[in-house]
Amino acid sequence: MILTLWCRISRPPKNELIVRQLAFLFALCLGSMCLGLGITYLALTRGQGFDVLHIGPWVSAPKSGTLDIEPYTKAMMARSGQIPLGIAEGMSFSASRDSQGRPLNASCVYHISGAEPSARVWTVTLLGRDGQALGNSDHHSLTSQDLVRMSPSSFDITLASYARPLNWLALPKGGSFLIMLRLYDSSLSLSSGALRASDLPRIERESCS
Amino acid sequence: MSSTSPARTSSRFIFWGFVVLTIATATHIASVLLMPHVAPKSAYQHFATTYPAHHLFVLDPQTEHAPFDDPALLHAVCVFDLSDGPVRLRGPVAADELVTMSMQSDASDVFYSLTDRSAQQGRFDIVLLTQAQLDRAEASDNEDEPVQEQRILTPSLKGFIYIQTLMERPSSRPEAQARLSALTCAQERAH
Repeated sequence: MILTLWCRISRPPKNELIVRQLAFLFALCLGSMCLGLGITYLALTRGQGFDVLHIGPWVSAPKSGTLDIEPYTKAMMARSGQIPLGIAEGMSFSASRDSQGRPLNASCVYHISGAEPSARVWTVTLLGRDGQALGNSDHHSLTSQDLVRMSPSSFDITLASYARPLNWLALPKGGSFLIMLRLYDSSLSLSSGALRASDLPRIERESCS
Repeated sequence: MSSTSPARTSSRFIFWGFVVLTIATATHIASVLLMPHVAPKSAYQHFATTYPAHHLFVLDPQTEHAPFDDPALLHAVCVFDLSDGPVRLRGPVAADELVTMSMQSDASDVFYSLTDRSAQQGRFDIVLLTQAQLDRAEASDNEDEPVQEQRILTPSLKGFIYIQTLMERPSSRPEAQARLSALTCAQERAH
């Protein structure tokens, strides 16, 4: 069809002209396909997907663990090898910014605090931006069962590159990082859209070196 | 010197721009939709090429972890292929010990998930079947006896079951490993 349209708007072809036109069409198709693949690469490596919820500093793809998963999120997970939590297993959130919207920086000290999320078990994990572990330390993850609580229904976790008393997660010496919050067997529902920022912990920056 | 008028040059530019955009958009959409089926690093591709089907493997958290996996959990996987029959996962569940699992197709779709709260009488007895296998199973059911197993219809022949259990702390890994190792995953030739 493209060739027909080309012939209609071009002058009557000679043999040499036809070869040039075919070469032009081939290059055009190849270039267009490379452009399409380049957009795919950018969308899957730098995008967040379309069906994404922002709740305070936390980001979640609520349908990632269902058959209704949105195609970009599904492609991103397949490309990286990520395994989403099924909807009955729980829900996961990631944060790359604090509650004031500033990018997380490992040279700062942060506090994750607030009311306990409504879940049978919940965990907080520090990861690199690519989802890989920050190192071999045992201090990159805490579960709700590990926490030292100053009051029955609230908690405070300190994120710092040096050891802190009570609940401490170890940051690397510098660079960016992600915080993952996972609520297992939770009574909260993302699909209803009723989740509020107050249902999830805050991420407050204390100081930066 | 070209005798082409500016108006004709402009219309050609618009035409070819439209062609480029159309091909680029079609390629983009096709590549996004195909990615779950062809991605070499997808979870299914990794497990299917690393582990034999129809056996449960507890994954070593030091060497085997997917991106964004929770290090507080110990994981196990069972790759399945229903071409030759249903696959059954069964085993005991300790009271109040968190165990969750998700069933995923070879196209990266999570088609079912559950927790230990779904276990009946302290045991998992889960059968993954195709529609034809489910029809045969229902035809052979005894109407006077309630079905004890949990039957799950799969949208594709191939996929994997991903099971997780909580390690309260790193030192409790042996207990978590024992919980997962108590589960079995096997194919049933006839149902």
